[in-house]
Order: sequence, then C-alpha cells, then structure tokens
Amino acid sequence: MKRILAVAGKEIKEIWRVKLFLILAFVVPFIMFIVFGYGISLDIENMPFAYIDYDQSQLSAQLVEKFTSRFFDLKAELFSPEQADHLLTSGTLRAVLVIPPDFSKKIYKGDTADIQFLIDGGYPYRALTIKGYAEAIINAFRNELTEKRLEQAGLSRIFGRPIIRVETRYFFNESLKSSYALVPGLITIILLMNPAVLTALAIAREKEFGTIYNIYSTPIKKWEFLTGKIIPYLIISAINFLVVVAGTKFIFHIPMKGNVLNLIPGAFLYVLITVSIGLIVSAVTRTIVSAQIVTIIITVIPAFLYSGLLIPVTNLEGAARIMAHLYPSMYFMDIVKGVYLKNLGIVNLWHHIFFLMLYFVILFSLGIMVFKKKEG
Amino acid sequence: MRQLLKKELLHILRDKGLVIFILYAFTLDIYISAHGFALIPERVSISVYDEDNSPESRELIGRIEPPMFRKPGVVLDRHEIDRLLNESKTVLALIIPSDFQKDLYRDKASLQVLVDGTQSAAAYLSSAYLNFIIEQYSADLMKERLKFVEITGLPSIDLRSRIYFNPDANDRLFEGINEFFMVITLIGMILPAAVLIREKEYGTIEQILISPLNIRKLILMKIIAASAFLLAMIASSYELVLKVWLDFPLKGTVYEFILLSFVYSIATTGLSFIIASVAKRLSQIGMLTIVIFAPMLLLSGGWVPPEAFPDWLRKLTFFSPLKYFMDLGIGLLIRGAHIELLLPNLIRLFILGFILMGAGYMLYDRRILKVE
Repeated sequence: MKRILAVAGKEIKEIWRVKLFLILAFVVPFIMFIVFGYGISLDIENMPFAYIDYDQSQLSAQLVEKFTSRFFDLKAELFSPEQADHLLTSGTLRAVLVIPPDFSKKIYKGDTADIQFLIDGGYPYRALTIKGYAEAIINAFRNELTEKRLEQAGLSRIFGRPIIRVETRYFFNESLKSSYALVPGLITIILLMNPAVLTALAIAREKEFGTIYNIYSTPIKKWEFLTGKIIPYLIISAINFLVVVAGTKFIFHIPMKGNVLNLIPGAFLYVLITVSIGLIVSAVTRTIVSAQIVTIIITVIPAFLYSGLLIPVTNLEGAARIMAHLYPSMYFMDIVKGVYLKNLGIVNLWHHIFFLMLYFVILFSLGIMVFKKKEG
Repeated sequence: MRQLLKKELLHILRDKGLVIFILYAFTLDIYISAHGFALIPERVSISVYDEDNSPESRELIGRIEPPMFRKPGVVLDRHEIDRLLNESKTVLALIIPSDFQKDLYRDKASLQVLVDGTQSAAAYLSSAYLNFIIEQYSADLMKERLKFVEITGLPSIDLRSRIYFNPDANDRLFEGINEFFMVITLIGMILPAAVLIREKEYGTIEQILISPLNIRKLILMKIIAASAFLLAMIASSYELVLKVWLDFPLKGTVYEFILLSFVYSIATTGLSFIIASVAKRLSQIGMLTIVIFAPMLLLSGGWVPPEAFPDWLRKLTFFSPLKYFMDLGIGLLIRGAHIELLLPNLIRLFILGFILMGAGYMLYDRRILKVE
C-alpha cells in the first residue's frame, strides 16, 4: 500500500511540474466539450434563400410569403437562372425557389403546376433538411388551396376527406432538442479519450526518458506500480467528470431527469477501463509520440462511430454492430442517456454496470500481463 | 542548398512514427470518416403496431422503405412498443389504431408516431420524413377519391427539388472531403512544427547557431521540405484515396486543389511557427495543435452552419483560416466553381495566411533564434 501511494505521489508531483501536461489534462477536454457542445447542433435555421417569380401573381406572392419563415431568410428576388446558379455556386445562397410563368393559371385550371426548388448540395445534411422544409411548406399551401376550392364548390360539408392527423410524441426528450442527447453524450467521448491519452503518456514518458529502469530495479510489484501510476489519472478524470457535468447544466442548460449519483459508479468503472486502455498501449509502444498516436487512433474513431452518439446502435449492421457491442462506450452511453433523459436508476442499469466491471477486470489483467518488468 | 533540402526531406521520411501517422491520416482515416460519420440517418429502425390490419394500413406500412428506413419491424403487442422505446431498441414507432380505415372516410383518421428522443440525431430527420410519407399517402388517397367527384380546378403542385452539385445528397462525399480538409489542417500544423522542433529537441540547434550556416536559410529549407512533403501527400491522397478508392465524383482538378492547399499552407505554417515557439518537445506539439485546432474547427462552419450562429460568433468566423479553406474546397470539389469565382475568398485566405506567417515567424525568431 505504501509503495502504491509512493508511486502515486511521485506521479502527481511530475504532472504538477509540467504545465503543458496540466493544460492537456484539464483545458483540452474542456475546450473539446465546449466546441462539440456548440458544434454538434443539428438544428437548421435562417438559411439564406432567394426566389425567381416569373408569374408575378397574387398566388405566387403568397407562396413566397409562406417560405419566409424562421427556417428561410429571404435575401433577394432574382431575375434569371444564371444569377441563381452563380449565387448557389459561390455559396452565397442555400436555396432558390423558381415559380414558372403559368403557375397561377395552372393552379386555377387544376393542372399540375411545377415549382422548382434549387438547393445547395455542398452540405448534404443541410440540403436534405431544407428539402424537407420546402416539401412541408408546399404541402400545407396545397392543402389550404384545396380546402378553399372544396368550400367554393360547396363540398366541404359532405365530403369525408382522408386527412390523417399525426400525433407525434417524443419520448424522454419532449421537445426533441438534439442537444439534450448530444451534450451529455459527450461525457462518454471525453472520459474515453482523455484518460487513455494521459495514461499512455505517463508510462511512455518513463520509457523514453529511461526512468523506467529505476522501477525495474526496485522490489515493487507490477500491479502495485501500475495501480499507483493510474491513481492520479483517476483523480484528474474525476475532476473533469464534475466539470463536464456542471458545464452540461450551467453552460448548455441541459436538464438531468435522474440523479447524478446514479452516474457515478458507471463513470468510475468506465474511467478505469479507459485508463487501462492507455496502460496497454503504453506497454506495447516505445516512444511518447507513438503512444499518443496509437491511443488517439484506437479511441477517437470508436468513440464517435460505435458509441451511439450520432448513429444509433440499432442502425448499425454486421461487423459495425458487433464492434459496438464489444466496445465499452456503448454501455456507458446508455447509462448517461438513461440517467439524463430517462431517469433510470442503478437497478435498471445494473447489467450495463456489470459489463463494464467485467471489461475492466479483463483489461487491467491484460495490462499487467503485457507490461514487462524487464526489457527484452 | 539542394543538399540541405535533401537532408531535411530524409529527416522527415526517417521519422517512422510521424510518417505512419501521416499515412494513416491521409488514407484510412478519411475512408473511415466517409463511411461512418454519417449525419444523415440511413436504415433507421422503426417498429409498427398495426391494430387495424386493413389494406390501407398495410399500404401505408409498405411505403416505409430503405434507404431512410429499414424494413419495419411488426409488433403484435402495444406493450412491446413501450419496451422497445424504453430500451432504445427502436428509433421510431408507428401505431395504427383499429378504426384507421373507417376513419379515413369520416374525416378524422389519426396515427401515433412515437420517437425515441434520446437518439435525437437520427430521430430528427427520420421522423420528419415519416410525416412526409404519411402526408403523401393522404394526398394520394384524396386524389383517388376526387376522381369520382364532379369538381374542377383542384390545385395540384409538383415540387421539383433539385439538389445542386450533389444530387443524391451523398453524405459520404461530404464527410470524406470534410475529413480530408481536417487532415490537411492538422498535418499542415503538426509537420512543420515537428520539423522545426527536432533540432531543438536533440540539441543540435546550438551547433547550427554557432556554425557558419545561415540559420534562416536552414529554417527556410525545413519549411520548404515540409510543405513539399505535405503537398505531395495531398496530391496522392486526392488522386488515390478520394478518386480511386472512394470513387468520389470530384469537380475540380488536382492542380487547382494543390494551388488552394498551397495558399492555405501559408496560414497553417504560420500557426506551426507559433506552436514551435511554445512547445518544448515533439510530444507537446500534438497537444498544442489540438488547443488551436478545436476553436478553428468550431468556427469553420463545417459542423454547424454559420447562419445559425449568434451574431458575435459569426463575425469571429472571418478569422478562422479553416473557414475559407472549407468554403473554397467545397466550392472547388463539390460545387465545381471556377477559380475566378473563388478568387475573393482566396485572396482573403492569402492575406490571413500572410499575417499568421508574419506573426508566427516573428515569435519564433524572438523566442528561439535570438536566445543565444
């Protein structure tokens, strides 16, 4: 026990001395949290938009008015397709509505009126969202006109219309704000990357500077050394955890439905796991730089792809789905979302916690096995 | 001169860790991003509880199709729906009540769509799309019925949406290119900084400072070697990874893109100088790069459209070189804009790069070269 504490104490002193390391430990995760927190908002609004109206009728003006909403920011009336092309190509506009010359005539006659809607495809997600908005606006406009026409014909009373009311209910996130799920989800990402990178650095540093030989020549046991080594990183991660949870509440104003205490056992195990990943990487690499690189490669990509942050695990197929189940992030993500959005307690989450525990035991043992107390 | 350049190039190639990282970033990393980082949901899981089981309800279910949705999972028990949602086993659930078919003739048909809000990224677009399918179905039914009614002049509007430059809204294309830009930015900052710091780390900089060799000439050679290597990597990644491996229909030519990358590399090299003046060791470069890169990324508009930013934040985007690079790169590769159309932004990027380079070099000069 004394030896473990001695290693931990020495490690803390070393961390404290290197100011840049402190930046890496606390500032980088915080910046990441802020950047991604503001950055992964998927709500598309105020798209710069223009129209060409060849019809110049009351009806076409009405339609343009329908488009001017919080989704579209009307910039200008254009007069030629070349102008539209040019402004879309240069990225000034995101969409252009083109109303043909015979628009109102066709509508009143009952022929099909074609409207063109030109969308900038530079950012596909935005393009599809914009297309969806436009379709909804046109549908509403057509329904309105149909109602009017039926009323004129005196049919609105006697005719049963197949209008389907859709009652949409959002579970756990009643206003479907993307940030309510994404921002807490970042806890999973940050507690994966940061502890792993820091721990990998810690041992790689001893190797690169040769101080590891001091350890080889002492009677300290492998597990004692490694345990002592990871204690400071657990403390750093605990602080980061608190900072991110506080930031979620006070900076992004995300409500937490459950109790923060239910998050702690999972978070603790999860950090133990990610620290062990760092240990294993540093045991098999030789230099600081390669330890850093390998850790980033094996943590960043699964963190985003297989954790369920952006892509629901149920949407994955084949190998990707298996990967997601083999990687610890998915389980902790479920715990985080469960506590934040579903008000789940430990009782409901025990099998996730059990899996994380199992994962840790396997990884830490593996870490002890691959860490050689002798060179060669 | 040529000897020096050769020596510096060899130095870069000999640093195995760095070269492997660069190779990885320019190949596999881009490939993985193109295939995995999709924001546009695909094959979203949806469960249906069809209490009505009528031709109409089955027709509606039949319209829920790939690529947006996977084949709907039919559930025979209402409680099963709640369980699936509670455990996040399905993103959407559609409930068709027992008298749906009858209600379609009584002006009061209704459906329930339940959405798992914890999976908001996928839920947002897919639930809107489901609503659209339902509306479309309702409009089609209306048309069918009005065939038998004596009425003329019913409005009918056909919205022809045309997505320019990327007609299928191919997310892979965008995410792959986006990652390509990120990699260029990161390596563009790390590589020159790594080259600059090596002499300092090994202590050989003191030797050079007292040798007759002109230190500024050496620095220049280092930067040229790093930039040449970077541009060569960009060109090969453009041709081999983006065009051949990922089969992207890129609009620009490799020459135009290299020109653009060259202008951009002035800005990133300027940032490199700043990093190299602050970092003490090679391993610290990575950390410093992340500190500078993260805000640049936020301000670039690649993640979140600048139109949706608050005003003060939108003004700050004008100081992010990555923003210009993204706009120009997407303009060139996806929108197929001519270089003249891009010229104003290219000039802005050049000016910004010039300022960063000047500031970076002055800092480096003061802190490293004039210490002795």
